[in-house]
Amino acid sequence: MAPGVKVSSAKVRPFVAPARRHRTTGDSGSGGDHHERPFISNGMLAILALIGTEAMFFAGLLGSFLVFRLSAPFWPPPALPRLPITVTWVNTFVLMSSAVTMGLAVRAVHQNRQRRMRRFLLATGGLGVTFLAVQGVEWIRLIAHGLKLSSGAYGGTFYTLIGCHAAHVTAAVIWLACVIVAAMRGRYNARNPGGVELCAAYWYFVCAIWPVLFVMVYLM
Amino acid sequence: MKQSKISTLAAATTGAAICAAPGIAAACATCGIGDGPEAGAYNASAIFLLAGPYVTFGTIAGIIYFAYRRAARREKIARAALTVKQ
Repeated sequence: MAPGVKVSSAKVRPFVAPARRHRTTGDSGSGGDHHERPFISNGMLAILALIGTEAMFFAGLLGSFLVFRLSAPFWPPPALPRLPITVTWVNTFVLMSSAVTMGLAVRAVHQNRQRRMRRFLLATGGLGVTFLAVQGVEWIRLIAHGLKLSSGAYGGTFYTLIGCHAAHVTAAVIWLACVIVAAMRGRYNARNPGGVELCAAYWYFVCAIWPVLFVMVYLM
Repeated sequence: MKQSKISTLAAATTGAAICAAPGIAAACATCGIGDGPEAGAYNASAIFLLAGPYVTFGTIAGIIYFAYRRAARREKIARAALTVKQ
């Protein structure tokens, strides 16, 4: 810019996204507190992109698992322990229940029912921690029975796939803990449900990927 | 012989050679495995990975579409309520 050229403050005012702008003119011609919002938020688009990449990551892992699983003459190999099916069925139920409680929390925040939302968020976190705890106990038992990461393709694929999912659940639980703390401070309500919705989207993904893993790794 | 006829003849000969000896024409290492459990495993994995992007992006597109439909419905209801108010 040439020296001495003055720019009015209106010209350098930062761009305000349509989602935050009050509609003062329009077809109806009425002002008021009606907000013009995009049908899907930027945060949700980002989460969907993240979920897409995560889904492809798991697809790659499952693709390599399929190669090992279907080309092996015996699965699991004779000397190695079988995976705990019954406990994992119960654990699957626990994780699916957490998706339901998360859905109820999202509904509660849309209805502006703060106590109900906090209660369901806490229940979701509790179920997520329970899932991780049961997984951890089962892993300790499997390692004690001789199934390790170095136990060939069987151990390697099991711990890689289930471990990656457990890492994602752990990340989701940490995120949920942050959301719970913010919810306790009254940050979320019917006008500002974004944080709960984004966390819920990731939580749904983590829950949705588990049945696929369970069927392919444990039952197939 | 015209140039186009020579090209056609060369393409037909190459195609016939590839069909006669598919093992030689195998473009990747896994295609040369043959008919066994390994080939089946690679085929199943390839089909799974081919389906992956379609399922993933189809699901995301579905979510975006339903979000759009829901927003349009809410907008319609809000406009109707505003008209009644006026």
